[in-house]
Amino acid sequence: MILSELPELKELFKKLRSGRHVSGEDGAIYRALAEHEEEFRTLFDSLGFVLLRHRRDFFYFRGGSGYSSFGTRIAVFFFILVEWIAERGERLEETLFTQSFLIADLPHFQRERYRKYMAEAGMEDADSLHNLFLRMERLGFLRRENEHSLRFRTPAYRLLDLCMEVLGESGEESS
Amino acid sequence: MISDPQSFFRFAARFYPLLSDLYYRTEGLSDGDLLDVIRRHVVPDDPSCEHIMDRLVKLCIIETVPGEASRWEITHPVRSLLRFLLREQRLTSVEVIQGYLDALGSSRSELEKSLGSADRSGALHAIGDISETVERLRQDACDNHSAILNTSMELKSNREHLPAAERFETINRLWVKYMYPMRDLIDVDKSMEALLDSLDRLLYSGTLQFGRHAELVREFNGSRARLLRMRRNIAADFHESLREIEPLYETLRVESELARFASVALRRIDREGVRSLDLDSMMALPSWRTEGLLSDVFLSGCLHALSGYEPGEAPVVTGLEVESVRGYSDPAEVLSSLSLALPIDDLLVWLDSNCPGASLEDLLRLYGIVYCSPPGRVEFGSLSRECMIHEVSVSSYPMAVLSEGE
Repeated sequence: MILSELPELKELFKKLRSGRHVSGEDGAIYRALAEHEEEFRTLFDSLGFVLLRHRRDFFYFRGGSGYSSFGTRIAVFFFILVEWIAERGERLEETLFTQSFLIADLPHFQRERYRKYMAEAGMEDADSLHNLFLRMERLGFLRRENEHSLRFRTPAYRLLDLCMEVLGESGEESS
Repeated sequence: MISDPQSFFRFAARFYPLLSDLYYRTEGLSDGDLLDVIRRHVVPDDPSCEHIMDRLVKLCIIETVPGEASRWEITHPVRSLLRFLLREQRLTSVEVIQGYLDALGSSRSELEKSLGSADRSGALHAIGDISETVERLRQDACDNHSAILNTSMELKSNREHLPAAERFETINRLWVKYMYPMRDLIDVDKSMEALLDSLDRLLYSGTLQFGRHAELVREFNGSRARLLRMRRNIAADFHESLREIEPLYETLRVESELARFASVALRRIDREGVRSLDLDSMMALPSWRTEGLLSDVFLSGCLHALSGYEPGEAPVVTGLEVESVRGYSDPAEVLSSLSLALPIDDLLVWLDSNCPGASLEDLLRLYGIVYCSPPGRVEFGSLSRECMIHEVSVSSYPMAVLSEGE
């Protein structure tokens, strides 16, 4: 197949280069990518983009230089969420990927300690959290069911991986 | 001591809800509390609460808490019985199981001695001990299996909403304290297998030695059958326990680690600031934007203009004649001219006069070449002299080049 004639190429390239994590829920573009993975990889590689496939079967571009500053905000939001779920005695993976989260119930601005972490990451109020959800939705990490609730999508596994990576980086507190 | 077991079971059958209630009360009850509990379970035809309390004591169902005369708790044997009936077995530690194995080893030596001296009575005694220990061992191993399944179900349902770390601690304790040592114990290369094999061989030799005593042979065979059943049950229970808790252990381990890692990351943000984690580069979300691209309309305009372009006459290039004089001076030619012109009193001035068009850099290059390979003898003047070369003021001690004979 001629690489420039790959299905959904224009739409895929546009989404991937903007940081979108493409998973099964994305329908046609995911199927095109999954079926022609190697051709897409070759094409993107020649354009200087690194296409990665996660073990949970979703795709994304790894930024080469000049990363989006939303990475920090998303990570801090997620660390707080993980700690909160664990404290409530709920099964982490099950809760994250099978339940809807009411935005009003989220703990991020309900505890002083969490407010401090959020401020540190540049999120001072509910508006900034709202912006974050918009960005996370565009990146494919979550889906907003309505204005009050959201649900995490499979690519949020990358954020769970990040928890592990952070400890690997810091090293000193691993067991 | 219960004088009449039948009375015990009749009472237990009639007042089972009361016994069950008492079983779940782990703290001692005062007289008043105990009577309150009894009152909740009696019906109009029942005897008085005081009488029932008296029967509880006489049937050894309750006893006083050690050191507290007026507080009551359920007795250990009844608690064990209820635990068994309610399938709420507790875990028996590997140390206790090891104790049974030691006891089996000791009974084995006793049996060996009895067989050596053809002592039928001693052998019968030893077989009884062996069978009793084997059954206890089997029962405790089976209880362990049930206790592990119960714990696993409790952890899965997590009705008490325990944090992931606490649940992992529980399963890790099961793993470290019971499963690992138990695996060691039933490992075919380990001492338990060797002991049970030798015991089985000894029991078999007993059947041969006392072959003419049918009753004794039956006892030997019975003990061998118990031993075989116990070994099969222990292995089966262990492997089933392993299948039950291994996936749960792994799940809880990962969940507990994730929760801990998230907390560690947050603590680090607290201590060292969010930049210390370099989360942007770890997430590596592409930030790709197009810059300096021309619009399609603009490009179309350019191409349209180019398509109608017709080149005019080529412009005449002028004014290069003077520049063409300046250029590279061949050192060999310069040295040859210099040889003919010797003697000279200032090489730099001579070069400037005789190499028209040479730049100052070129003159200095030639000056260096002559200095390194002079065609005659070189002498430097004692006074500095200044001259203008290509509008540059050059100050030097004049280098004279003389013929060799001068």
